[in-house]
Amino acid sequence: MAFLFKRGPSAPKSDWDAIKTVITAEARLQTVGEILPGRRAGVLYRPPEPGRYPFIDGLESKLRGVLNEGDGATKTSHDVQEDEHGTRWVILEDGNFEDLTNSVFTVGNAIGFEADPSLMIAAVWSTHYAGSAAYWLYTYQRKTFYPFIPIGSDDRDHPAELNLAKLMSRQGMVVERSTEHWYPLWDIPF
Amino acid sequence: MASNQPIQLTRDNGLRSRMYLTMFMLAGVYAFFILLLIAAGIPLVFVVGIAAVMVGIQYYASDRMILRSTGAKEVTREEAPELYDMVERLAIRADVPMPKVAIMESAAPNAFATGRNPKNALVAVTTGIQERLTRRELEAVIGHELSHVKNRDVTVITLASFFLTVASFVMQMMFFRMMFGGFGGGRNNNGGAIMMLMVGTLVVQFVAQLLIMALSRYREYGADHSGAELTGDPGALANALEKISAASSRVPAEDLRKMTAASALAFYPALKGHSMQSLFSTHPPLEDRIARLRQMENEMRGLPQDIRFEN
Repeated sequence: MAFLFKRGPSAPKSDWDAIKTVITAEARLQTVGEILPGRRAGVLYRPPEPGRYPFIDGLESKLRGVLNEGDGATKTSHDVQEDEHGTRWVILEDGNFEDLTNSVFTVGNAIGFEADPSLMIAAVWSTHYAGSAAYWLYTYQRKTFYPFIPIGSDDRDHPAELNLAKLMSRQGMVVERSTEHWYPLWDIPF
Repeated sequence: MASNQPIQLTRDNGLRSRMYLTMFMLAGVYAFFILLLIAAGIPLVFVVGIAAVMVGIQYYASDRMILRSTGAKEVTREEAPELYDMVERLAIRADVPMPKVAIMESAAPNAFATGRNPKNALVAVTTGIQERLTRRELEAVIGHELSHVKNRDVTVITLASFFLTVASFVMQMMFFRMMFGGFGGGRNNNGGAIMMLMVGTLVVQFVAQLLIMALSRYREYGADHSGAELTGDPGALANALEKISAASSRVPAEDLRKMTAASALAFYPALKGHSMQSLFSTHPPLEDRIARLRQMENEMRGLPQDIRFEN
């Protein structure tokens, strides 16, 4: 049963076309009481070797300029962390979900533009579904979303993921149809 | 918990009219096919007779054939008292004779019903479905299967497939005739007429196959509807379908970070083709079945219908 979900109206051409669908979906799902709001998200990337891209080397300080200053400035706070897989997270926090999502896009876009788009792995939003912590994963490679609901550190609630995916798809999110691409992402640091 | 009284099942009129329309269209396709055979001078009695024997064997031996091919073992009340009682209670409510009960040793969650009529019916479940589902969910699945028995779905689909069997038999005859010459036609072969007949038969096969699949999908919806009425718990059937689909949907075990490292440059285009897939499947999309059951659940509880946003 690999193909359970219809895609959105059409396949998105850009990351923003896909990522923006999470804004309306989140608001609607919250309104009908399916999910509880989440205020944190993360952008996951593979760090290049030091010295290759000055932007990445000074990312932490540059993010302030990217996120909190100039046109479209938000109040999103940010933190950069390395995980035990050798990949790096830009963890974002904002009470306004639309701003949070704009910031997710901005960070991913900046890393892709100033360094290399192939460094980008995923953008992750936290939410609450059916009484447990859940995540929406967006992969830059496939430009699609899928849900991830971990149980402990090495199991996942796949039936609940399927339910959540249906809700997401119904609300216009571009959901990855093939569950064979729903890779887990363990130990998300938020 | 279901009581031990037969209940009157309601009918979903929209579904029934679509089902009858499909059957009517199927009859039309078959009538066209018979005319085609007559026009082509095919010995009709001979062809239909052989096909009838083939279908007859399938019809009368299907339960034994399925038991053998799936490895399901019939069980007695003593061997599986809980399952047996559950089937018996639901059979009484559905007002069908007690079917045979069978269990398949398989981790895959599945269940099926077979038998040419309610008196010769058999309901089989896998060990996997017994482990994964709660009692109420299993009851809902058995209610669905007993509805297939009550609605005589095996008979309907077998009969609907009868002329499809005839058509494939005609195709084989045509093939042999082209290869070796036949029917005593000798040298007087009419190549054009044979081509016409082959094309006509192919069209009949194709259209009939599509209609039978549609009919089969409608009967799945029908069995969901009456199965849910039997147990009075559409939500349990929806839950069961969700669990079954989750169990058969595979997710990778590798962490995303490892995967993207290995295939950083690979880009797999997301697949399209949902509509063709649904056209050719015998079961309706699970999502639709679950949505209908959830709606039925809300109606039974007197809640407002599902709130949906359309894009």
